[in-house]
Amino acid sequence: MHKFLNFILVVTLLVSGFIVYSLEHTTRGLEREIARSQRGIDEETENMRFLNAEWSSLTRPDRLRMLAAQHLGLSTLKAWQIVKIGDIVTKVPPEPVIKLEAQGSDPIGSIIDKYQQ
Amino acid sequence: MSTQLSITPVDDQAPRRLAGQNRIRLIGICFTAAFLALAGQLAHLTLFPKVEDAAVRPVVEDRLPRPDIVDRNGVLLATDVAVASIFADPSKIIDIDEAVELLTATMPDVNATELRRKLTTAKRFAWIKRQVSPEERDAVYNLGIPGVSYVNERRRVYPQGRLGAHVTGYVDLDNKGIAGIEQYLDNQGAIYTASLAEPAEHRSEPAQLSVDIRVQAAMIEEISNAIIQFGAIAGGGIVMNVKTGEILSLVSLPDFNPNQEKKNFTKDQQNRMTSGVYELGSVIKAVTFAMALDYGTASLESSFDARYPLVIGNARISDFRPQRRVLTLPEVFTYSSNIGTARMALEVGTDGHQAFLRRVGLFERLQTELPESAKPLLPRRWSKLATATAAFGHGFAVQPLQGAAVVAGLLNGGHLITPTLLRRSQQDALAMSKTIVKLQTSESLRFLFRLNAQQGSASKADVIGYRVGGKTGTAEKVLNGRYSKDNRITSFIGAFPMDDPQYLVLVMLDEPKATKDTYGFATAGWNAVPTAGKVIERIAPMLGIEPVLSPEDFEKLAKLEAKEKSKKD
Repeated sequence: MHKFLNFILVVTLLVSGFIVYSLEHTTRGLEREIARSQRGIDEETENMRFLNAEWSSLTRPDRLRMLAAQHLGLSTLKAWQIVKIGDIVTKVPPEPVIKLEAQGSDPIGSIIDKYQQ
Repeated sequence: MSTQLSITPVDDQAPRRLAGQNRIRLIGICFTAAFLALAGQLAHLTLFPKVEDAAVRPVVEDRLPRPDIVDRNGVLLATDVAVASIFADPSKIIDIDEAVELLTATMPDVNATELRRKLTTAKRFAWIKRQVSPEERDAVYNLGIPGVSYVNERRRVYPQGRLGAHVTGYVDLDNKGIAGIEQYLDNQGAIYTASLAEPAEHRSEPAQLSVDIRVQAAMIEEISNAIIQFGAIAGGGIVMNVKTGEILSLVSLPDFNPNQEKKNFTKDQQNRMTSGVYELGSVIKAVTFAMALDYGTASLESSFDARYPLVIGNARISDFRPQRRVLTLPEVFTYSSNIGTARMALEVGTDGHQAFLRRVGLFERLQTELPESAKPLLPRRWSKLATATAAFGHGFAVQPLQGAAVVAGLLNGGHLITPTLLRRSQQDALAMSKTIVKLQTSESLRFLFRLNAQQGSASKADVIGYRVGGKTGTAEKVLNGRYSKDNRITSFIGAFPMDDPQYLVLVMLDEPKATKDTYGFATAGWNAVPTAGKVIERIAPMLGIEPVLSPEDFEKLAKLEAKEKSKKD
């Protein structure tokens, strides 16, 4: 009876010891991984901050204006260049300049026709 | 065991065996207790794991992080970035000459002799270069010189540079806010800063301002152009939402770069819009008109005798552009007649005048989020003469921002709203506002402002399509206690669109000179007003103001086109 009980206890001790140590080992590994990920996150957050700052600096309105004027030939928007969507009808010339259908080639029209069939 | 114990032996060995049994039992209890304690502790650790900190996590800052500052559209105005600083431990460097050579090759701006001196004299620590770019840091790291390493430091940067300078302010070397909104954030205490922060994420929510950086950029560019064109010594501008009091732009030139390493700014670079008081001149007439209309002592049909200069005691009040006739009230406004305005104020009386100025808050210091603010400068004794001259802004100096706030209050239906640099909804603004004039008075003023832009002194700001209205002011500067005829402060206060004012624009120039283009004039109508016009033309589409073109506008456009054509031919 005694011997059997002792045997059981020893085995339990060994088994539980093994479980505890292996658990601890995996935990350590996980902890290291968490720390690594955390460092990675921190690094990326830092990068994000830096890139945000750089983006903001590169898209400064005065810089964009200068670039737009230099490379795109844009200038200040005038009031009469703004037309309400409803008023577009009145701004369109009454007759299309080129009559595509008359020329027998209306690529966009033919695509629409194709899909409607 | 209990079964064994229950058998009570009768022989003489019994007491000894019994004693042995007891000892075993005692040891058993001890072991059980010990194992139970271990099991308990194990269970406790498994079920309630202790939060791992210091050892695993990288450096956690002890200082509260400063929140980012963004404009009303979320554009970053101020943020913290980690910057690396490179240092060396000379005792670990094997070959100092080689190290110096490699380091100066990667960082050309590092002085070689200086670096060699540092590395030979210092024992354990020497800075090589503070605050380097990530590229430089990596380059140095990849050199792999033993004993050379870097640490990360926090640094406040302002990506928009000069654009937001006076609004954001700046921080000192210890990251403490010492001007502008930065100081405001600090003064709100750690609580405010921490409330923005999410401790778990180790990040903070940005503080959002009411400023629109695009409007700010337009204002800065136009004012700096005007300063150059008219040879002014300084200038400033404000754009404000008249319905909420939100400041969209606040410019004061000369400005500064908050990223600058040494912040030894001069008084000249201070924020003129809030920390200085200026005579806004005739702009103040708007307040006098509002007073007379609101008290009912004058109406739009009233007329005032401006035939002769007004004599009070031994002082004479005369007009800049004398008409020498009886003027109607709108004419007094458009000709900016000092005589007419003084008469209008005298009809109200000294007490009524003071009471009205107190009502619109011109007796008190205006305090916004900006720590820099100045008290209005008023006549010390309110005599009859003081009332007459203060009516057209003489001897009456206020923060330009305060002037803007009062005019906004007069134009928006009579609600005086304290300006703010933070976001505010229209309901909140209305709830905290103070009614200063009747709606009808406000409407009359809108009419006068629009009229002045159509045919009065502010006509150069009447941008086609945006229904601008405004009032100009040219004040003589006080130099050595006397008004100087040649040194002026010119200003323009206006709003658009005038049928339902949304935004107020203020432009101020300090000592603009007459040029050939202005035909020798240096009054507001020739410098501050066209500048404001250019600003409005640029910002109105950004702010979503729908242009409306009247038939007269089309006529004007046709004329402009014809002019262009004739120029080409």
